[in-house]
Amino acid sequence: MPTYTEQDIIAGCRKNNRAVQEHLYKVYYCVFLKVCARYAKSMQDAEQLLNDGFLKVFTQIDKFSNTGSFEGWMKKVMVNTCLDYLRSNYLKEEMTMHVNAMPIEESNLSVSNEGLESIEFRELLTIIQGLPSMTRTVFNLFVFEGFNHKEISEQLDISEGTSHWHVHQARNMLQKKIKKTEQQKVTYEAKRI
Amino acid sequence: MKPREFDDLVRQKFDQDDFAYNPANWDKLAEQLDGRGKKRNIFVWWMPLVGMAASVAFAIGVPKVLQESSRSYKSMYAMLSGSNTPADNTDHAQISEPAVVAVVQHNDRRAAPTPAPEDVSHWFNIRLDNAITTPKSTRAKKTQADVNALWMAAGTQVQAERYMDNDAEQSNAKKKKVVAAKAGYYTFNDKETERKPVKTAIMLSGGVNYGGASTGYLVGASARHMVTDKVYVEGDLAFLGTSNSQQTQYLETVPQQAHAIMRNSTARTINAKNTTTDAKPTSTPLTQNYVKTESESYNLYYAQITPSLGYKLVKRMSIGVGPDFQQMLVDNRPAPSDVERGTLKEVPMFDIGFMGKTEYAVTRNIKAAVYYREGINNVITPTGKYIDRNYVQFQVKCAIFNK
Repeated sequence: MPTYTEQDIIAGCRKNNRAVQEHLYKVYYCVFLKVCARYAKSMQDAEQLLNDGFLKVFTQIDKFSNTGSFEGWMKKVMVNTCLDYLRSNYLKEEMTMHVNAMPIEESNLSVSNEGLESIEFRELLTIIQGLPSMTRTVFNLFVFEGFNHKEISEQLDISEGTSHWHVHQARNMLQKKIKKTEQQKVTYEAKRI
Repeated sequence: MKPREFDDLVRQKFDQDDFAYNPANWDKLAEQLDGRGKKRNIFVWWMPLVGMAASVAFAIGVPKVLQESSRSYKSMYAMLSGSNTPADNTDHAQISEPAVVAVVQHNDRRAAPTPAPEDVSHWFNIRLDNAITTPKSTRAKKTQADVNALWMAAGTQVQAERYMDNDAEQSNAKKKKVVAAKAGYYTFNDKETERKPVKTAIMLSGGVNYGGASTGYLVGASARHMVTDKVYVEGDLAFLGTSNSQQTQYLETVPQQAHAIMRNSTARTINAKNTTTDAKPTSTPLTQNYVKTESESYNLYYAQITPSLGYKLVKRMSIGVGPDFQQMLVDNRPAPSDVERGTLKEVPMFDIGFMGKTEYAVTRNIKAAVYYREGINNVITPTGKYIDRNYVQFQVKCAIFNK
């Protein structure tokens, strides 16, 4: 694989150089597929979102001002692509729910470190993908993108209280599903023995 | 475990494993990128030129219609008020027919200014030279033809007033637009703006025309296909109806014996003096001249086909340009003169023109459009005998099929 500096890659993409574009795609494939997979309902949707995101990166690269991190700019494009997809397909139906939900105080969760550590990455991804769309989106923005509740409320046009509620709900649901997965594993192991 | 710890663990879990690279995904993306590049190479360099040409056509066309309307109106008024004789009008310089005044009135019932009797008589006095020596039947035909010539020269005549009135309406419309932009009125919501863009659409259209020999209405349908994100081809098929009427005032000369009968008619007496310069003036009997009015209404119906190429300037606004073909369906045109007149023009049966348009998407399914159409029959067949119909058309289109 040829070596390119970040500036070479940006310049090559601006010139529509297919080899440079492919290089960039390969380098960031895994990183951004994980991002898309967290927001999508399935891996098929995630791959489609990844390509849509890269298409935007390649066609709108002139908008990158060279001032900040290129990777950060690309990640922003990817997340926005995912949010656009969710807004148009799933979030509208759920946006009217829980509008009056009050902020929920954080409390200790009953899930153990061992339970979470023993679970596979793919299993965790499947559990996250199984969350309701709005809950999953708010959780992703809060935990992975580092948005605060005010920023989330502005992004998704919901109240801050609703954002709190979704994060709380996501943790509870994940906790229950992780426990359930653990139990299934134990049962399976017991049957094998 | 505290919630923050739980979040950290989830994040860590995501950093532990990776997905395998799948080259098939890149192949799909490369295909998309190649497709975009090819389309851009084909269209991007010349489409803005077409867009600019349409804008220029529109910008030049509208003032031209207004200017011609205003000019025709003024010349007609000047002629009627006696400040100019018909000889000032080149179209009528060769006309030896006497005593003809044509007043064209469009179907908007807005009457042209009625000349004062004394003013009109001044003009009649000049034109009455050959009145008596011309047979009445010929005079009547020529009168009609003369009116045609005047009417055609007048073109869009009375519309000038209508446009003046429209200025006030348009300024009101602008105010309404400002109001419509405020909250509480219709605005695009996120769901609509994020819908998949329409590739092919079939629309029903309706509208009105203002212009020379073309004031009327149209109904039709159009089909549009987006070739790229910005460029589209469209075909319009429409039925065009124009309603026209003309009033002819002509001077009828009758012997003195019939004077009593004519006095009871609705005709208005203009001049009772015999002003003939015939070779034998003494043998000419004493005559009485009357202005008679004839009104004739006629409608022209066309089938209109307009293929066009459009360019989306911004999200909701586009411009287009293309040829315009119109076939007259029923020939209701007034009978042409049987006397040779080089300057007499007629409306063609098959009319070819050039069209420029601007469209605005009010909603996803409703579009408002302004068309400017300029006939080019005299360019194609440089005989100069046709009226090149030009008009402004306002259309509303409603999509019945979007895919």
